[in-house]
Amino acid sequence: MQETRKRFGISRKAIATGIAAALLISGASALSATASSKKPAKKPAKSKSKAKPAAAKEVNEFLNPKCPAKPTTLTIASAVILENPGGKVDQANADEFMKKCPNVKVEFIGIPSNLLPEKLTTLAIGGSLPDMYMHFTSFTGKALQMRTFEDLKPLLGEDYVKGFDPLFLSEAIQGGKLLWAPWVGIPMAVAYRKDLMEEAGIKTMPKTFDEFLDVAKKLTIDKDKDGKMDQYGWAMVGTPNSSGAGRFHAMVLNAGAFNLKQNPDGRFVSGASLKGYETALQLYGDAIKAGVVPPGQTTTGYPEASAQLATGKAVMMITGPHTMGIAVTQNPSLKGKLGGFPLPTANGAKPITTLNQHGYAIARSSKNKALAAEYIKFMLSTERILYYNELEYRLPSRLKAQADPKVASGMAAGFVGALKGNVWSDSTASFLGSVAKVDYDAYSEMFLGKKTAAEIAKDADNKIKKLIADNA
Amino acid sequence: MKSAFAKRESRSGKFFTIPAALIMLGLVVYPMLYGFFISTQKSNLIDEWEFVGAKYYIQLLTDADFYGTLQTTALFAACVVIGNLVVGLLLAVLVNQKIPLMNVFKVILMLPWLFPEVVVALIWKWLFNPLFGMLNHILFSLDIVEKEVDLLGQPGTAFAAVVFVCIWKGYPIVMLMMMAGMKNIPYERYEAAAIDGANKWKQFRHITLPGLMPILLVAAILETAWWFKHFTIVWLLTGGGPARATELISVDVYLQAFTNFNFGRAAAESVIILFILMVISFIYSRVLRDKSQ
Repeated sequence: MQETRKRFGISRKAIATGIAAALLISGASALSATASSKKPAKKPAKSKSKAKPAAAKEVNEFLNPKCPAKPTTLTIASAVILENPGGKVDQANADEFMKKCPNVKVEFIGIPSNLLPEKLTTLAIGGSLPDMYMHFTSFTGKALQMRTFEDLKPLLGEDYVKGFDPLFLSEAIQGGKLLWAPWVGIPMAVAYRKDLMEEAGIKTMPKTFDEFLDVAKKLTIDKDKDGKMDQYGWAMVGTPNSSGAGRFHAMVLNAGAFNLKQNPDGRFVSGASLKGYETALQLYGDAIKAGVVPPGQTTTGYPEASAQLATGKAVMMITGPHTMGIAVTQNPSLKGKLGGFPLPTANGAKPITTLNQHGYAIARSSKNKALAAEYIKFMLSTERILYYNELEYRLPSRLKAQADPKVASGMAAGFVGALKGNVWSDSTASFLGSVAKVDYDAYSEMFLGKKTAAEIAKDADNKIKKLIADNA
Repeated sequence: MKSAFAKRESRSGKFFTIPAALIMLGLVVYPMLYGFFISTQKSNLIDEWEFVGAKYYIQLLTDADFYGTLQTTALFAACVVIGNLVVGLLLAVLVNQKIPLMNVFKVILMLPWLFPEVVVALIWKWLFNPLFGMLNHILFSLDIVEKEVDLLGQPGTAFAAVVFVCIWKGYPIVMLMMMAGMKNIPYERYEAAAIDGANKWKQFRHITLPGLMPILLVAAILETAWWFKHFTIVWLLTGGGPARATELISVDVYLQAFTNFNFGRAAAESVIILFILMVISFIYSRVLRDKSQ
């Protein structure tokens, strides 16, 4: 179900507590984080938090799984296994699980995150889905259509399910069924280089599109005065794929529009005719015209933009907190020098972000469902999920893990803070990928500067309406 | 009237072709028919099958974007095929000369064909990169440009760049075919032409080119079919962008099938591509056969 809503309840309080704690321990956070990053992969840091949300109880810890009597192979399709440093987490979880259950062999099928829906679709059609597969919300519509899910509520238990943050569950539960076990979220915000921002004398983070563009201009500098820019304001992901489209849509949302949503009556509607869509396009066009984006934006994908941030070629990037983990891996001296702030807004819109969660689903065709459920509970135990957070700053899905002060402190604070505003969940339309294509065609067109934002937005609106009609 | 032996032999011949015919039916005819069947269905390819008739064909044939994509594909295929034939033919003529170390050059010239398409695309993507690419570095070093050139960022240059990379990747196989074809042209013809006073250009025009016509026909058909449905290099270099400037029909089929998950429409596009390629092959064979005769 697609909707916009405010965060509430225990998880919000836990995060607020975490942020307060972060202010007290901010001086020590960098040191502790540095120290913990040196710990071996198989011994993740233990939570030091004593606070326990009421709903969490003792349902989080499943470090001693029930092992099968016979030798069993558990196959898992994962995107994280291919990433660095995230892959260490997946591998360490598997290694530790296999130690606990020597009869179990965990085998990964690595699939790049951008290709996950396509590959999973192919595997499902071929009847060869693994026991578990990584689920991104962009795959929900198709997975529902293909009925690849096993309902996890009976497998994990109602009490256990209550230990998830309700925000994560609101996306993962469809039609009363828990389609995947949420693992982590990466709320979209602006990641930035604190050191370079300070160097440019910028103390206040931009809150509107205009301020964002002004700051980006100030950060675009020819440091050695050779006529070539050495530093740019905005590491824009402009590739024609879901990575670029997701970031653009985040700006569309913060300008008060959307690309597609499902009304309560079930009908899909286009939001590209709203002023905000045009405003977001205008921001993209203006940024290119002003030269605040490193050249080559149409081929600058997520890895390239992250590298621009890590190397100081660019200062700001629309992304999730995991980018900081990747940047620190590329350039360890960045520890403590990165931060995040909520996405800027326009047209008087309220700040809004996307959770961008991922987790593991159990395939309906799996013959090892009980074992897969044990594995999920094991990897979602507090110490294991916090290890992931420690490496990549991703927001854990479990309330107990969220209560750890480190989760919402230090470099991650700005991203967790972004969740204080509204949170957008994409619809479960099976043609959502095509809507994303309309988005990236639109901003690609804007880069060329041959049409006005209004004309491009009108085209986009017509295309989305046609998609709705074709898929009715 | 056929003798009993001839009849028996004819039956045996038919019998021996059965395994090959069955394999062809299984590997070629069945997938084609199945593809056509899918194009008439609204399906998730697992357990949802709804007959929709010609709905997807009508959608495609009334879609201006589809015609735009077809036009881009035709232009792309024409540029790459002509480029491959010209470059392949010229290099084949060059390496056919008796020059020292020619075998080394032959191996070097064949290298692009040996690289996987994914590797080729990624190599060139980095060479074209405006910030870190070799091309921009050279242009800056020679003071040719003052600002980074983003070849893949503008529609015209992006199209030219993908055509260039595809020619770079594709010319060796044409060169190889031409080299093989040249071996079959009797040397005496060149000797006779030289005695009659024909220069190198006239020898090429009146002996080499007609001699290579059958090979050219095969190369043109294979190349057109290959590049008309090409996907990998273009997808990895530009993803069909910027602003759909390099969006080929194969890219659209992929997006329809695996982004929109509309397998019926993707299959309908594939059937249309098959039909177009059959028409192109027929025209080629008629035109080139007439010329060679």
